[in-house]
Amino acid sequence: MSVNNNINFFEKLSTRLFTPLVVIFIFVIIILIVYVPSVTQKHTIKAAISTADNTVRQYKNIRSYYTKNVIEKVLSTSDVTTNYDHEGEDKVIPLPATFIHEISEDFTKQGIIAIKLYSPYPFPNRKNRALDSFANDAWSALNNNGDKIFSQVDTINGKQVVRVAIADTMTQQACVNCHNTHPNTPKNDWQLTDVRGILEVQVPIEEQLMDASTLNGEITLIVITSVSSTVVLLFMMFKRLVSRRLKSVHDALQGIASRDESLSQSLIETKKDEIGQLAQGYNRMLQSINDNSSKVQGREWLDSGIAEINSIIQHFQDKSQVSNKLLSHLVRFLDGHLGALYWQEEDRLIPYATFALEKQLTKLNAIKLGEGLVGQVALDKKIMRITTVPQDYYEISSSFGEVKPQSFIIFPIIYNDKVIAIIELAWLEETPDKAVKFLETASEVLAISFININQNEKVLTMLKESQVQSEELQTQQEELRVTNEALSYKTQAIKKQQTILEHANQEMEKKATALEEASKYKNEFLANMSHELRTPLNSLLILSRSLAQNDDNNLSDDEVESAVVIQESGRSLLELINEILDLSKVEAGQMKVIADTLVIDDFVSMLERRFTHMAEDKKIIFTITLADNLPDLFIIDGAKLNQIITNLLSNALKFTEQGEVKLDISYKQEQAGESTSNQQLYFCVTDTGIGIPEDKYHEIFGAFQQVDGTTSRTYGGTGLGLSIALSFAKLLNGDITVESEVGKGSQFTLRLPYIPAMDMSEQVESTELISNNTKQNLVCLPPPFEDDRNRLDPTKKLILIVEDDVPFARIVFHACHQQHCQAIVATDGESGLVLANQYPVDGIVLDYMLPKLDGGEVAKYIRSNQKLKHIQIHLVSALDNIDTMDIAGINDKSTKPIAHHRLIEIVESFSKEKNSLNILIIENDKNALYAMNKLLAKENVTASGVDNAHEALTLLKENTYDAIILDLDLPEVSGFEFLELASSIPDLTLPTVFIYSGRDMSEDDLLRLAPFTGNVIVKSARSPERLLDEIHLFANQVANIPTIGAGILSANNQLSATTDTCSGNHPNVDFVNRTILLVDDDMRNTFALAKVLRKEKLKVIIASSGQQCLDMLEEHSDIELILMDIMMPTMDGYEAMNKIREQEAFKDITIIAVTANAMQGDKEKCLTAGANDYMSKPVDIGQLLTMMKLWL
Amino acid sequence: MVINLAKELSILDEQQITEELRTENIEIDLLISAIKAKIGYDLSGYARASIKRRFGQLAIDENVKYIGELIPKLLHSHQCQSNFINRLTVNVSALFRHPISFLSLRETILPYLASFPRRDIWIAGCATGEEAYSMAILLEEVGLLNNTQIHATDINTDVLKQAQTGVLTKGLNKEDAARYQASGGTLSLSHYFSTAYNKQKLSQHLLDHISFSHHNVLQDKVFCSAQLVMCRNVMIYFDLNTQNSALSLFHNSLVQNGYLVIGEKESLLNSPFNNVLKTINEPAKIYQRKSIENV
Repeated sequence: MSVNNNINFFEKLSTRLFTPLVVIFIFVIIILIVYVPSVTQKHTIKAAISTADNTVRQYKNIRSYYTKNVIEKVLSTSDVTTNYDHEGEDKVIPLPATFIHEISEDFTKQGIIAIKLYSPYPFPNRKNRALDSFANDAWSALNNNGDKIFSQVDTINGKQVVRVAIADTMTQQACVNCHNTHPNTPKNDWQLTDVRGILEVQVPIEEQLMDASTLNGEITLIVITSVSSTVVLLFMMFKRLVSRRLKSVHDALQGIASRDESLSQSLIETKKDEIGQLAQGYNRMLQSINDNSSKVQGREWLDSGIAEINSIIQHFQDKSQVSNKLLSHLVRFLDGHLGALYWQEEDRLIPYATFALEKQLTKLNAIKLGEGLVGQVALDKKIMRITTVPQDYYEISSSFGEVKPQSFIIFPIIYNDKVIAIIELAWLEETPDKAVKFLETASEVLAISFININQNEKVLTMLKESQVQSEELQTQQEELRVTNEALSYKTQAIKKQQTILEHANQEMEKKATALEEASKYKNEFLANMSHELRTPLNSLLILSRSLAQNDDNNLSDDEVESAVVIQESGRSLLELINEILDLSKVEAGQMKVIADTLVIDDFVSMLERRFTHMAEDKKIIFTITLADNLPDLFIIDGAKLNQIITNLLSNALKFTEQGEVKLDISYKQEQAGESTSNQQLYFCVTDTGIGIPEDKYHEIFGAFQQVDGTTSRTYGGTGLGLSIALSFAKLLNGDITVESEVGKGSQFTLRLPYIPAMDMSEQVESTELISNNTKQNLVCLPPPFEDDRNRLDPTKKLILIVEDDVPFARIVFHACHQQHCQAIVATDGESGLVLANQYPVDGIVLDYMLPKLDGGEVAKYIRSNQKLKHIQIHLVSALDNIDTMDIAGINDKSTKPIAHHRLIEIVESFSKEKNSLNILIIENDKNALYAMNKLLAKENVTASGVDNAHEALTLLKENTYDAIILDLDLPEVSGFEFLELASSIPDLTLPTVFIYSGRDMSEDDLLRLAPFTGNVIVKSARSPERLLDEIHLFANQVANIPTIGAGILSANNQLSATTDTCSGNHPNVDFVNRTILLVDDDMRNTFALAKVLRKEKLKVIIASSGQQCLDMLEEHSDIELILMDIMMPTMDGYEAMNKIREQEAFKDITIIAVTANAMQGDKEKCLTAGANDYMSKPVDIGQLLTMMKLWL
Repeated sequence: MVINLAKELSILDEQQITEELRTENIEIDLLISAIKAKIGYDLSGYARASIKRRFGQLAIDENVKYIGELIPKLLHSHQCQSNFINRLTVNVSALFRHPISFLSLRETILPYLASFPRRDIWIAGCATGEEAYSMAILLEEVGLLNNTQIHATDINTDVLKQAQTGVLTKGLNKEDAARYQASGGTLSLSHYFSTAYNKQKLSQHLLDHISFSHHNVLQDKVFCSAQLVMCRNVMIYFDLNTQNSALSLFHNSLVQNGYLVIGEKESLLNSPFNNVLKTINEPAKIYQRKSIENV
């Protein structure tokens, strides 16, 4: 810096001062160099010219003298002539010119300045003397200017000369004359003052010039030397006197400016001149600056310390970080050597930072107020200075040794009279005063900063908390929103349903009201009608009758006959009306069925009374016969029965002209033998009437129809009767059938159920039966004999017997008791349903032919009832075709007659329940076996247990089992071996295998089991439950599939499409015995896939991890293709493929990747990792095989 | 959201608001299609409100005024593409969340699963991994860890990377410990973590039993047979149809008698799966597969 300064300094000042000098100096030199030489040269030339002039004059003088004194005299006195050619001529003297010429020549040879004379008019002997350019120029210049001088500097022979040409003027007449008269004269009209020729003098100036230049040089040199030495001298003097001193002042000033310590010194000045004074002034200034700057430094130091504190606070938010940085800064700043920083938190001082302490921060304890020096300071809130530290107080150590601190201070940072923090600092020497001063000054800043930090910390914590909370809130909101959405969705759905319901309700109400009204109307109508119709009719009948009777005998026969006709017509009309009303009543469902007791004899009597007369009238034999076994009374709706029979009989009588009409009443059982049957009453009306063609059987029961429209005309009647009769019969759960032969007669048979009369006290009140519409309260009739309903035993199975054949019911009842079951009995379907609902029935023996509801309908009702649908139903029936009938809902059926042992079987089957599984348990631990049996006892399972494999194999061969529960650790032959043995027996298909073992399964174990089963249950706390679950699932599966497939339950279907579609019967030739490697960590999937592939005659090796895959590749050299699952733990498919491709041997082996990822880009990823092709899950077998064919 | 706020402040009138909302909806639909076409993720099954909020946040982050402006960004910037999905599917996760479920697992379910020789447990939507860690800890405490493989998957590759490290994003705190206790924890939670650089990392032994992979429950297929599938607070963002398809995936990934655990605020009540899966513990949201057939 100072050097540069120097240079700068010099440049400026000296430049200003000495530049003019130097400029002048240079100027002078230039003059010397340029100007002087030319001046000198001019002088030289001038001198040369004057010399030349002199010379010419001399010569001219000489020539004139010669001319005058020699030539004139000679010529005038002698015969000597003048000629230029005088050599060797005695009488010839040179011409003056010649004289000059030759002398010049001589002189020239001698080096003396000579003259040349020439002219454009030379004498012949000189004609060959060429005139050079100078000469010509000179001639032109001087020809007419005789006084002038023409000169030129020229170089002759390498030397500089001045050629001076002076006109040679003829001044003397003599010359003129001579020149004019000379025989060889070139020109003869010379005149006086003509210029005859040029007189040239060549004055060498070379030497002069050289001298001059030497002189110049010397002068120049002298001048330069003198001037430069003057300058230098001046310069040095200047430097010494002025510039150096100024420079030191300047440097000193610079020093101050740049705060360079080395230059900030007082200047030493001895002289008292201006610069001296300047220096003094500077010294004084320096002094004051120093004073100031030390003050400033002091403050700066303080400020820097505080600024650093501030910056630390700014940059670090974390309390411990700040503490560390702060303490470190303070210790260094104050030249300390040890430090510790405590924050006050809840009346304790917690150490947050240490400096050079050997004790780690984590080992320092919190200090309570008043505890130790630090605690005391916290309490006192005053600084503590310890200046003499006891010898063994502490040691500061470094790598090179240990030393004891000399002093330390404990300084509290206080704000608002609260101690925020305590700083402890130690020094190896005395505590510097500035340290304390600093701490005092900085205290407030520190306090505020510390408080800020605390605040910041709090804020940060709160911020974090609030962030977390807001996240949680957001999630909660999200969840709420979702719930809300779900709720609103539901509400909407509900609303929709509500609206629909409302609409439906409204509709229903409307319909109900309409219906009500309609029925009300109908009732009213009927009531009215019947009244309206009957009333006039009544009158008509009464009157006509009285007319017919003719009591007054005032009518003619014709009139009487007419009255009779009227009466009969009226009666017919009445009949018709009654029938119509009846029919409509039946159709309106208003016909009531009243069960009352009918005494058969009374009934018969009544009929006889009614019809005998009519028959006699027609001369027809009318007989009524009763069967022997007919009971005396029974329950029936007597009125209706009456109507039906009446109708049949009246028809019979009507359509019979002659012969007989028979009524046979019998009580029939459908079939003979032990079997039960419906007890039916038969009313058979046989006549020998006109008969009915077969194809009209159905029609006659249609309302208002007779065989043909004409019969009514012949036989009367509206044809309503039969239809009413039939509807009544149906109403009573009976039927009317007809057999007839045209011309021979007809037989109408009314069949009605026989309901034996019983104690009135047991009658259940009957309610209205609204047929064709909804069934309301069902009628439950009492059992035909005492059954078990009042003495139920919950430990015994309860069978419901629905059978109207009482003897048979009794037999079944006893059979149940034989099998230690209980039974309740119903004789009709309705009662059966009621009982099924009321009692906890385990099985139903159901007859098909039942009154009111037949067996099929009962079964339907039971199956559609949630509560009852699972109950076993065994259908029995006498019907021939029951085997072929497809009756839904029943579990099994038998035809009557039923053998006794079969009955026992049926009852037994209830206690066993249908579809029980047959399970073989192979377990050698007696207790475990016992436990399992107990477990399965409650299930629909028949379990047989063995404790060794040999027995198991034997049993397997002899019996069919649905499933096997197999322990692995068996004596002699292990579970594994058992499986292998069993599967190798030809014609023996292993059923589903459940492994139930306490063994800790290894990978190898699982692999070994894989070909046989995927169901492995490890004995553990809830394994019995699991076992049951699996059995249940299995049972369900079995129940749903008509034929139980042998072997394994299907794995989670990661395989799609059937396996049969691909190769059909012929194994694919390409695949036979070729080896592929299957890599998948999911054993089930692997096994299932392997099975399929093995079917195709492929050899399949399985690996369950990436590493295993690599191992397998090494072990088996014949692997041609690899199916690689992508998602595997530890080493995924990508990595495995990479590793495979890295090996030279497997660079080209075919790898097909199998992945669940369906994203675009996944295929590329597979291919990049080394796969040749790609298959996505679920794997389509057909596709896979095609792909494999391609690659193999 | 701005629009909603404006609505609240009645700055815009009804007409304008409706029009703005309509436009916003159009933009949202377009962005969803763009994402589907460009990246392949189908967000149309996510609940609308949550998508709207997320897009709005993305718009703010990407410094654009309208959601529609995100479309060119998505289409032309690879950076954006990988960012979008990650930011659209961020999930908050915590250790032993909804402790009742874990307690029920410990007391009832895991003893049942002990009867399987090998267990595969799939945790779908594992986010930063806390759920998988909790499961590992639980398994360790009941002694079933050794033969169990936990498959943790998520759609978001960023959080997967984080989860894979085993390092907790937030340090262990009192609430974590409390939930652990409520889950039946017998030791102390910190026992399973090692501390370094102010972070907690799950012990390696446990971490070894967890594999992390990328999987999209809406588009990818079944990849393992699991005895237990846990998917919590993922379906909360789906609409009903998507929920059903996810449930179908989970159902089919379960072995027979395997269990499904869903989130505290989730429910099967609106789904046909309510009749397919047997409810084991409704408050704990645990269900069991009882059918043989896949649905």
